[in-house]
Amino acid sequence: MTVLAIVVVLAAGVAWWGARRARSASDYFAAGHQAGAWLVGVAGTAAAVSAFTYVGGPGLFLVTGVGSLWIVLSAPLTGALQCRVVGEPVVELARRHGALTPTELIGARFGRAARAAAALVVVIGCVASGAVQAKAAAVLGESFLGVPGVAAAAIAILATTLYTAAGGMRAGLLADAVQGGVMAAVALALAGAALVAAGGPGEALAAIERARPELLGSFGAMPPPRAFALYLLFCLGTLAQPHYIQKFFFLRSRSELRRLPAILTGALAAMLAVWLGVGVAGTALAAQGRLAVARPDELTPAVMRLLGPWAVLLAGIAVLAALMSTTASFLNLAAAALTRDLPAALGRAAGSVTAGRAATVVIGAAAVVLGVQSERTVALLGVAGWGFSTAALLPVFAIGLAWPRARGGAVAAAIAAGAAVDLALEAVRSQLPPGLEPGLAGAAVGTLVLVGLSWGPMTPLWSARSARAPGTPGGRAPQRQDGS
Amino acid sequence: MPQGQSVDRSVVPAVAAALALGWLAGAVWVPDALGPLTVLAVAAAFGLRVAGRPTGRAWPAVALVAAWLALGFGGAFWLQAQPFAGLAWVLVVVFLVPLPVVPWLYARSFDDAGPGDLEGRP
Repeated sequence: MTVLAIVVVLAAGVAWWGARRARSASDYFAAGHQAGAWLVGVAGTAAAVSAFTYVGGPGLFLVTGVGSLWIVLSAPLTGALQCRVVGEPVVELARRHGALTPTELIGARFGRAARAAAALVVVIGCVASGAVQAKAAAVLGESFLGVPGVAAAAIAILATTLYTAAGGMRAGLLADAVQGGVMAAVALALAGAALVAAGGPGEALAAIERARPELLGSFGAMPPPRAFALYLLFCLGTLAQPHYIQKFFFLRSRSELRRLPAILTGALAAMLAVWLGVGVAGTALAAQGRLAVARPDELTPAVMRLLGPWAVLLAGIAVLAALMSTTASFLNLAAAALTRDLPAALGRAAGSVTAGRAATVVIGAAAVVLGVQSERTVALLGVAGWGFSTAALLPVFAIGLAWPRARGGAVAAAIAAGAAVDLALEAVRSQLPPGLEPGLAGAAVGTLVLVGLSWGPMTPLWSARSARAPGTPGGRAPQRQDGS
Repeated sequence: MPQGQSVDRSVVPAVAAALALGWLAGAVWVPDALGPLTVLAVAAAFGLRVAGRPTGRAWPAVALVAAWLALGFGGAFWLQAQPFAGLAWVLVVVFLVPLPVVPWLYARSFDDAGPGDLEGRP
């Protein structure tokens, strides 16, 4: 409980600092557009790497071996891919339209219907993803800190809600950067210590090969089609996650993008070391009979207990940092969607920063309630949440921003279609062919809807009604509704 | 919009739709095609923002990424039954080697001026 108490005190401090500085919507939702590449890179990676990496990843290695790594093997590409495909247009369009969030940008480019559809997806996706973090916090509490899971989830998520509600992303960005540094350092330390405890990488792999050879090779116990599908889902999916895209709104200038991929990639590689190191070591220790785990999510806590109290403490801090940094982004994005995007789509004025703070609290509570009730593992919840955003938003950000002819109504339909397909397939996931990932299937259907309706005959229903720049046909000046 | 630029930009939805259809068909009926389709999809994603751009600096980087992915996936498929060789290939060729290279390629091909209009204005 000491760790949680320290977290609450630190969160209160960050909340106080942030509340004094988050005066405008620009400060609250876009950190004032003042961040450089290093701050955005480290904080952005912290927000991207959730407790999934520390708890779900190693647990998945225990089940599928090398197959689980195909989720993260695209890490060398994703920094550059995000910057090229999404970062560059987002930075340019955000400046041009004065947009503060991904959904606001969609509205400026594609119109109110698209903005409303995207906002609904963001709220659902962020609450669901927040539930993943709450679930991980429950695991953290029970396995690392020895406190009831519900209490741990409530304290961790509500502490995050405190500083996010008070200071928005001005507070969130600073907290994320500190958490990112802690996560990277702890990940490397724990990975190394775990492998040493297993006898070194060579002995650990030999132990796995003797007991469970099916976990090794190029794909482990995972069918290659599923491995390729997961690679693609987690590669292209980085273009569609709202909390990934959000960081580009924090940048102070376009030129910061040049070195951002190197920072994102380096930080991510450091944090992912825990997935491989603890995964391999934990699986080897289980094969050697030195560990017994009943569920995959128990692997990381079991390895930490074997290493000693220092490892349990460090791992608890790192997992807490991971889930808090990710949750902060989800809370802020969902609050923006509820208080700015949905009202704007209905033709009403955007809510105040105070309304944003209230929405943040409500969303945080919803995430806790959903997360502690879920029976799925952290890994499966994470894949489902990631897939939902991919299905709904990948066509918009990957194709829509690159294709001037993409129409507003078509974008709204694509978002709805992708989300619907993902939800339908997710409900029957166990019956699907190995390579048919619901998130990718939804994105594929959404792409076909976007292209088909944009290329089809021009009708009032599908015609773009975006706020084009003044001087263009049908254009009107972009309007900021928050006075910032 | 200049005629040449509109032709280039129309490649984006055509390729995207073809890949979407191909991926759905492969996932349901031809799972062995998912490896090559993944390579094509990732390469196409990198090429999205290059379509219609006046500079040619980005195209060699896209081609290099595609070639490396094809090599990595092909080698992984070939070594899947080898416990240690397969793992080593995946970790070294697919993950470690491109780790410093891809960000460097991006920085080298970064265009400070930007690609021009993104909203189809004349």
